[in-house]
Amino acid sequence: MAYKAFWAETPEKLNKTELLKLEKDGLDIIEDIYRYAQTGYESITEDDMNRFKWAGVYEQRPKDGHFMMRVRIPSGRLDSEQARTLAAIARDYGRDLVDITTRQAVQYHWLRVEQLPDIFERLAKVGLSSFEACGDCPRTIVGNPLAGIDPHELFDTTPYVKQLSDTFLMNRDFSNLPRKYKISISASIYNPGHAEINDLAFTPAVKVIDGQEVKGFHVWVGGGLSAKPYLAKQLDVFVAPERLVDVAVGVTTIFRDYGYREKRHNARLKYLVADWGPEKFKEKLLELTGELPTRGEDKLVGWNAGYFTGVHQQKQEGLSYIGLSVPVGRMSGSELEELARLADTYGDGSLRTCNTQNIVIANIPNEKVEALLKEPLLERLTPYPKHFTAFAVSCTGTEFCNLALVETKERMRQLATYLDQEIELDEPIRIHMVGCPNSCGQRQIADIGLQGSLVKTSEGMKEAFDIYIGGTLGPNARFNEKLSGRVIVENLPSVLVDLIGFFKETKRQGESFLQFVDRVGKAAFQERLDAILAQLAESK
Amino acid sequence: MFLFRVEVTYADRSRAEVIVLQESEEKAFKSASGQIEHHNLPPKQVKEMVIVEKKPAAAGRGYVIDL
Repeated sequence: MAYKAFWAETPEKLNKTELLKLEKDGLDIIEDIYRYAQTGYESITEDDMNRFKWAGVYEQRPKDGHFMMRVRIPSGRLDSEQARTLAAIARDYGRDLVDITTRQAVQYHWLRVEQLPDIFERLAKVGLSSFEACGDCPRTIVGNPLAGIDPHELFDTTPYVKQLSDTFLMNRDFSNLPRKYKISISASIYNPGHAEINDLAFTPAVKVIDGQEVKGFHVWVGGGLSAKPYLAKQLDVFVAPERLVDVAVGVTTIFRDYGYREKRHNARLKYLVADWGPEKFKEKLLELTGELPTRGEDKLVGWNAGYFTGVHQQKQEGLSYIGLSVPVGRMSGSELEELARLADTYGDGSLRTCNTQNIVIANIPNEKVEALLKEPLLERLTPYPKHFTAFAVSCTGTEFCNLALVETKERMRQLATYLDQEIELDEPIRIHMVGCPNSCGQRQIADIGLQGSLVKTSEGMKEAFDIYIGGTLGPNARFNEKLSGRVIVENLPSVLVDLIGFFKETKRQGESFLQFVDRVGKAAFQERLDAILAQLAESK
Repeated sequence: MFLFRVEVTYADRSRAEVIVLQESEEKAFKSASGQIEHHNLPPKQVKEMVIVEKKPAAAGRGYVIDL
């Protein structure tokens, strides 16, 4: 460890988790897990169970000896051998279940502690890891899943993502941060890395330096969702690609050394950024990195929300990528294995996971596209999904999550299917469903966000949802706003049909849901929802 | 054990937030109802009672209620 944990000098100002981290580094748990695999679940101490996160492992609901594991997939890049390994682990240990997350990672469920060493080793053999996919450390780096093949990127970010990921992974200089730490790197002009909701983000920019136009990045700090969402602030610096690691290490060092460790609920970088402001943050950063050019020309022009379904030309002539819809990110290991076969058969074995819980098969010669589209797997994981299914995102929900209040994943899938049957739109609506306020399903950035709660009724406890409208990133980024009036789960499909029907009936030609919300205002939706709920109450 | 945040709307449209420590959602509703009955004299009719959040219980955990 090449730094001094000076916060250890004032233990009275540290929260309990901080004391645990000083007692034993999170990364030490990896060796311990090999021991626990021999001694069994019952032998795991409470403190060590908390440290399992550094190995990318959490206890799943209902805490009966089963675990969730998250595997890092930086920028979503997977090759077919890695995909086969992931699929085999799911089949052998995880009840054949693979979930793609909103950070391009893969999650397993149903694992037992005695299986973890074998899984770690299988992952390592193909250059994958679950280590530091959770915990107070730099987690998997999200980015443009099309890096290297994207006609809309300034340059290929793949080497920089790898360099930074390698810098941080298993690096004990950064394995004890005040809280979780999320990084995004993308050079796409459409912000598929969701820059504004990451602790640290790099987005495309150019700057004329010494008479030459240099392509590089702008830097954002302090974004994050959770129960207290905050949009990242852009710093007044320009970063040439070769300085990206220096700057990321600088920002992360600031977080490690100045981030708040007294109270865990205000430990995320966003609290420090909110207190300091971007100017002070920049000053401190320059002390660590040396001089950096001031901000250049921002090359972000919009937000594609991270969606790539369909067949599209790559920047390489004669090659296409095919974006497939994975409804709410869930597939079987067998399906992932088949995707690996398709990637090998028709392309060069490249797959890319997306932060919208979908997947891309890359580098398909144009002449092979038609044959690939006829493969049976593409009937379910289709490149041409119906709108609501295509743009539906969900967290894990009560199926496996200890914090969720309601079931979400299968419900969102069914709800999207129903809406696809009932409503035809020429503009997609992004719906995100979450089972609690902690935002794993990124409810705040959805066109329509649905957040679960439990209502006491005369017929017993019932699941219900609050409705939020109008979230977006990119230009005019903002979080969605809550409508008053909770909807009991059995009424949710019909209420949404009615509410979306209001949009469909009164929207202008070509008007998106967000533009419509901007034009008619939240009050118009509230009025409509009030009327719908009043009608439901009358019909009871 | 979890710390549950329960939103309550009364028949007269006034509102309250109740925080209860319990091991399950069902028991949290029961405890919240008990707290409300104890708190309101004369009693107030509850129109809606909703669990909106839960956190694993530990010393120092809590909620901020915006007024």
